[in-house]
Amino acid sequence: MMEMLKWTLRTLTAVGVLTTVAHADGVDQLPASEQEIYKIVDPQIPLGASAYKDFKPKKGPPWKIGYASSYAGNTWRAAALDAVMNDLLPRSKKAGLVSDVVVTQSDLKDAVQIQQMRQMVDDGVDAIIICCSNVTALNQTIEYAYNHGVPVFSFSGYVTSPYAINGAANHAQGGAQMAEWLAKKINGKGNVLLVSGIPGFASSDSFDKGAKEALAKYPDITVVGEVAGKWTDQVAQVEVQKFLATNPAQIDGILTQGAQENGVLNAMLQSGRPMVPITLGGEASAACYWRKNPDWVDASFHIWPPRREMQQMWEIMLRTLEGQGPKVQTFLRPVLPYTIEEVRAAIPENCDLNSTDFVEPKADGWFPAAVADQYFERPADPWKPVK
Amino acid sequence: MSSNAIRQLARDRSLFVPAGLFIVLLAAVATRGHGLFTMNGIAGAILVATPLILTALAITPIVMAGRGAVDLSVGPLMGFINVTLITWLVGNGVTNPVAVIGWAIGLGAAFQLIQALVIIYVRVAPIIVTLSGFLVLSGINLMVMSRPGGVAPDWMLSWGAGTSVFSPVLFLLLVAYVVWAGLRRTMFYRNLRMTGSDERMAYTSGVPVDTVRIIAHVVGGAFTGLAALSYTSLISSGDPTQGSTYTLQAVTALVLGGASLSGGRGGALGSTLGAINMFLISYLLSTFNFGTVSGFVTQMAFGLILVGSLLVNVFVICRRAAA
Repeated sequence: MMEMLKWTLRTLTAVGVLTTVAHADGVDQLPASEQEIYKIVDPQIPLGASAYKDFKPKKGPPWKIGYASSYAGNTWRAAALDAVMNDLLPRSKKAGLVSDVVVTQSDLKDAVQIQQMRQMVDDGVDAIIICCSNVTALNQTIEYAYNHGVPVFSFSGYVTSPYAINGAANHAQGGAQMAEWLAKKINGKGNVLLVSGIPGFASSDSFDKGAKEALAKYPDITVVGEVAGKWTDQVAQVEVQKFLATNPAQIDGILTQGAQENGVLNAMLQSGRPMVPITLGGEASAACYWRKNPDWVDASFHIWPPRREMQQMWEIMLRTLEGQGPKVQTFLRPVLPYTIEEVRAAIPENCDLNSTDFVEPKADGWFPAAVADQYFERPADPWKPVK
Repeated sequence: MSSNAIRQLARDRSLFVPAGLFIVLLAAVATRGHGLFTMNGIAGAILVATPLILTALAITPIVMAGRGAVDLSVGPLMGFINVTLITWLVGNGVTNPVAVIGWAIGLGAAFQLIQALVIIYVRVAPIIVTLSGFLVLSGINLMVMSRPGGVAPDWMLSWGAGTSVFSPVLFLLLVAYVVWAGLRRTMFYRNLRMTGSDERMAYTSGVPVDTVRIIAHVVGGAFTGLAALSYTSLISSGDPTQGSTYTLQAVTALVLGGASLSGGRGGALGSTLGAINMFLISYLLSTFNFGTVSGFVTQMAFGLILVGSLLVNVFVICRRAAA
């Protein structure tokens, strides 16, 4: 009995040591400039080595791809899906890499998303892309897919499963950066309203965590309220309106997540209160207001540019299916601040205040091929046509 | 289905529509591919559909007890059991299966007992009480666990693999049916139907309506406990917000299954069919590739099938009433 116990203990320790080594194996393999991005990070994000280092797909190319989206009701998701359907898929088809993309939508119901992902695996897709879903609920399903040779790629948000590959901006760092900017903008004191995304979702929680930690460094800043905008302008507008109507206290700045800032802006405009600094995350509509009122704020942030994040994940997926061997489980990107000059270049003078588009980094500006190469064991051009 | 179930089908006309829809959907799914009719397909279906079937079963006795008592709290209650299980029990090292299962069923039953007592003795309309339950629990869940996380106990991890038809999840479902079949043989079941159809008449005939209502809630709560166990094994973790989405789905499944929201009519078979039909609708729609408008088409088709099915249901019932 004692022997058995000792043996178990020894195995456990061995496994423990192994995991630490494996951890170091992941991010430590990246160049120093990239490791920098992993410094402030949501502790729940898995940073180990990828399970797909020696992965070979079941068949193909061309591959059949499943996109199991968890939600469809906002402009961000529409832009991400548009990037797949009208840019990435045609290009991949032309190169003979991808034959088809199957799209499903689960309306924020995890059980439905689980069913749809299992269905995709059973129907023989070669890879599944998911977006910013529940961080733990899909893990069993991801393992099911892994056991059937189907890698799962989570973009713009992580899942904790060791069998998934995550790719996103470092949302915790982004939240901290945007909070930092806002705090400086209001001179380190005053009342701040937080507008969260969808509580419980990966990127939303990471952002809030980073943002709150950054704000906590300013003792004179009070967070007077927290509402959830669901990354949807209309929802954010209603929630902020409700808050402003029931809280007469002065608001000195609003820290909102990206993809909903125009709703927050509209709520402020409607309330008749003097305009305060609002964090901007790339919506073309709010950027248009900024273009027309250049003194309002002095920076905006590419925190989750939908088309670029999708492109990043797509390229990671192609590289993985091509057997290039990803080094890490999670690919993080830095959040990129940008100025009004970039907005002037991206949208015209007579821009649309109700635009549903996004101001995004240039095609190769988010995840440049030279940087991407360093994340893979056997790098090559992912877009090289198949003969 | 057993011969008993078929006999029940033939007798109870409210089951015509759900049974018909079930056959149509099954045929439609079969023409769209054979993914569902494999070992993994069926195992996955059982895994995914069981929490919905069990929540639909959980609200069945409560609805049958009448007074328009749709239990809105069922979803968050399931979520509450899920997050407390993961945070309070597993988080503190309590992973004993007996303790975990006992906690789930006991907590469900206890919460429903409280709701029943408020409904009966404070005399608040059931829908208000359960709506309050919904709101309170939705908030408490986020306090217990602010974001999804944690892991299910080790022995439960394999439950969620969904690679075997005869999984513990199926066993949970069977337990619920055995309990229901047992209840059907008791005096309580007859009293429940009488209370639901006409509470005043039942009372004057000497039916202990309060006791009946309390038992209906406690049974519903115990079923919610089973639902929470199957849900926990589905996601193998804790989730504070997802439970709430089950309330509407369970009510939809109940109505699709031919139960009457005004009480008296309903049953395990109908609710099960309703829940399975919802799963099949979702499965069927997922086999189509709607591309960029996927989300909207799925929602619309789902709504249309629900409305169509309800219209046929109403039509059948009207015709029966006229005849």
